[in-house]
Amino acid sequence: MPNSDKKITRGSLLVAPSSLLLLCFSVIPLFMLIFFSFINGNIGPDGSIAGYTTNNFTMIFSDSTFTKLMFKSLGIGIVVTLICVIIAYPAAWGIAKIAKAKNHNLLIMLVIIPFFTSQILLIYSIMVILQAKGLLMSLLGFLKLADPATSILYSNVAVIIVLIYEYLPYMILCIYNSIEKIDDNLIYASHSLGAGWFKTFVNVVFPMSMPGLLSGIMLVLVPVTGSFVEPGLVGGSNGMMVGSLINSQFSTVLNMGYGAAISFVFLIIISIIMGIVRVLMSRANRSIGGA
Amino acid sequence: MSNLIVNNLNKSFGDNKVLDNISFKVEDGKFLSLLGPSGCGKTTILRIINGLEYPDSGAVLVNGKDITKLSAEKRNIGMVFQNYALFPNMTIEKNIAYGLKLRKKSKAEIKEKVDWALKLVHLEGMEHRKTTMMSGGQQQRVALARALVIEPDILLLDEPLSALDRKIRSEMQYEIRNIQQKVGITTVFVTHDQEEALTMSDEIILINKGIIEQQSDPWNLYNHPVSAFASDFLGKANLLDAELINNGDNWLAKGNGWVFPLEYKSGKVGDKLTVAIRGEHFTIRLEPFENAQEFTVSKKIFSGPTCKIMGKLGEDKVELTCISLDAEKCEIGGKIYIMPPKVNVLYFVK
Amino acid sequence: MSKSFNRVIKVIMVLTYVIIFLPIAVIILMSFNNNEYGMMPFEFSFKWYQYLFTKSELLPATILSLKLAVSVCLVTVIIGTISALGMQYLPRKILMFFQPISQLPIIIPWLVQSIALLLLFNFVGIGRSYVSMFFGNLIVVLPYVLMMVAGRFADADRTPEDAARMLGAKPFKVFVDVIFPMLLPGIISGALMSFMVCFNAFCMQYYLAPFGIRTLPIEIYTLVKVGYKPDLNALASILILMSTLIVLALNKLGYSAKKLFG
Repeated sequence: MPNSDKKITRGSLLVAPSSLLLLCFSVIPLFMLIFFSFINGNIGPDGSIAGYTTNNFTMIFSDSTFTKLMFKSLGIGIVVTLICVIIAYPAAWGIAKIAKAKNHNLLIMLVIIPFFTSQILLIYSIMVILQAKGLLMSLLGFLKLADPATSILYSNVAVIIVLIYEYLPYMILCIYNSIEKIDDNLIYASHSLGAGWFKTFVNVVFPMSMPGLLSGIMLVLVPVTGSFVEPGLVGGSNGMMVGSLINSQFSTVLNMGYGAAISFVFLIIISIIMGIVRVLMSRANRSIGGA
Repeated sequence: MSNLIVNNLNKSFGDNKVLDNISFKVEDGKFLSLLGPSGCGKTTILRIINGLEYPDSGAVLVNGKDITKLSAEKRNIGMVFQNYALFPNMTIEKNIAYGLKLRKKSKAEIKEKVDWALKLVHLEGMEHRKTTMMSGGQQQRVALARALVIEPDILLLDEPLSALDRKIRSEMQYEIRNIQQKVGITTVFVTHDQEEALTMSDEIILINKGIIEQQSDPWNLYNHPVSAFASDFLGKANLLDAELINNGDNWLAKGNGWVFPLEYKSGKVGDKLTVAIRGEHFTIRLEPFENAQEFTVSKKIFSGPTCKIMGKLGEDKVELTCISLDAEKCEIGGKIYIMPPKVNVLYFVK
Repeated sequence: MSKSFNRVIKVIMVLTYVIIFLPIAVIILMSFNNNEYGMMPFEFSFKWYQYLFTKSELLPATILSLKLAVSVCLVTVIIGTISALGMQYLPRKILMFFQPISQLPIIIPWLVQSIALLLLFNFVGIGRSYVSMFFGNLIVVLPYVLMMVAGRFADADRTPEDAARMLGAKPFKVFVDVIFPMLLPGIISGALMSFMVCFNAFCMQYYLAPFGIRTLPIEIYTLVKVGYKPDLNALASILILMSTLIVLALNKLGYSAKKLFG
């Protein structure tokens, strides 16, 4: 029908600028990444390439550095996600079901503020709390639990604390969105049938909040596993993660071919994780009768 | 004012034929309802008349002028939508004035016409309100005023009352009909509600699966349906399988354990029939009487002035409607005797 | 649920808010502390704010970041809105292909996205530059604008457009009088969102900014690496105030959008 042809032409024309941008700056760069993982060493400032090799990949798997850091990063990702989930559930529950309805908006808005604040500033603010003679150490010193002149900064623990602090709001929001949708009557029904709060949580609340939990896991696990700013700022010498390794290839070591290869392998691992979470998500949605 | 002629409309979406050779005519100033179950194609007819959809073949004529290929904004047709479709960023006054502004009318004329329209729908003094501050009924009045103020050739109403609650709905039925008659505008009204169509219309077209089942005035449509679908859709009849027989003097319908005499129209002995009898058309007595059939009461449903009695006529399940005082005398599980007058036994040869 | 259970939950909830806001509160408090290293005793002063606006090296970086964020935001909003409009004309088949790609820049970890862009720009010979930084930031905010404006299309009632046509409005008039006002809350939200994300996009700027040029996130990163700077507290307080205001504005928009278009 000529009418719909005209519509498609008009639509395509309007979508063209975005498509072009996405193609040039998102799709093509990804292929560049794959392409560059096969080059030898660095690219010259004029774009010149020294030669092609598969050494970058053999290096990744012959040397244990990448594997170790990848596992460590995934481990930190899982620990941070888990702690976020544990803190976020009661908080999200409190906002959605205990706080008065007219306060929901305000409480959620407060959680969103860190979203809109610079990541580096958030890291900085928690560093101030954690630093030697800072608030936390002074308090611990006052309680005679630690020497106030020392600090847990520049360690893996500090990295984990900072990451939890940064990503907790995402998790609260995701879980809140799911819990808020649970009909109060379902919970009353569960109680009236004799279930205590624990059984109610396990049998009603937890399955119903599954989609939110999974999208929270997606929003926290993926970026945490790939973080490089936090280990760089508060991790100290032992705090490296896989993101730091990638970063160093581009900022200090300057071996872009190897860096691209690591990024590519990292991207594949992350995509597999995202794929699994996505499949679980659609399954969870189906099981509670959602879309 | 204007008349509307719709000629041989055909329309398919993919393999799905939604309109099959639809033709009808609306005389100047008349109120026509397109009645039918959802998905029957009535809304598609409306969208072809107003230009938001084009037919595969066929024509729409207003006052003899073919407007089939004219785009919607050039048609001068007023339309009221189911969900009001008011402009949320404009006040009531601006909503109503919008069509006049597009027609480049003078400020004084716009003011005069908007005032006239507001008065027509009884919303004087509300011109500066936001649309969201009004009730559903009020919003629909604004939509009506907005559609009428441009003095359209034809007014189209697409289920305008279905989003309103029951009480306001019946108020609006009378109101819309009054305004339509006052303005004298040719109107096409789309609805799936038979009661609405019967109350408001000069003429009703009953549509089923893209085909016109029957076109008639409300009285005849209800009392003389021409098909089993028509008799069931308007006023919910009991549809029973039967066979046409003749006992020498009379034509009868012989069903599954029951026989009723009927008024012969067509068919021959042995024809399979669908018999349609409305619940309120049965004569009900506690004692047997001439030609009456035994009926076993299984359930009574009280609904105010009337009462539904459900039970078995022979092997068939039948629903009777009677005034509640009469229903009181029937006992559940008991037997009563029923018989419809000959004229009310409608039959359709299969 | 039992009252004691509710009380426990409430306590945890309050504690969570304390955890989230304590560091921010400490920063704001210390920005008013005369004492250089943020230590006790606390002496109230505007000293660091004065320093920030007169002598601080943070100021040029802030201005650069504002310029970057405003220009990226303007271009993204225009392109994103036009594309969201175009998406309405496209059949489902094409959208099924376009939508996932349009979300690609925020699905891929930004570290990988920025490195891939750096490689691209190196390959074509531009390398680190203002142009690279501009497009790098643009591509990571475009998905938000597309999402928010296209979202308005999906949520909004479309029949007023038909109503306007029936009253005689030509397609351009329908856009100006009906579609644009309907999209406006989405456009403004998209603009605020892209401004804020771009203003804070450290990773992208870290890899794509020209050598020696520091945007605010890079400047803060460098400062934090080196050590503690009291005027940073003052700037951080102002930035936190800014994000709070933007969140308030977004909330207000959502609210008034509900009021206007519900």
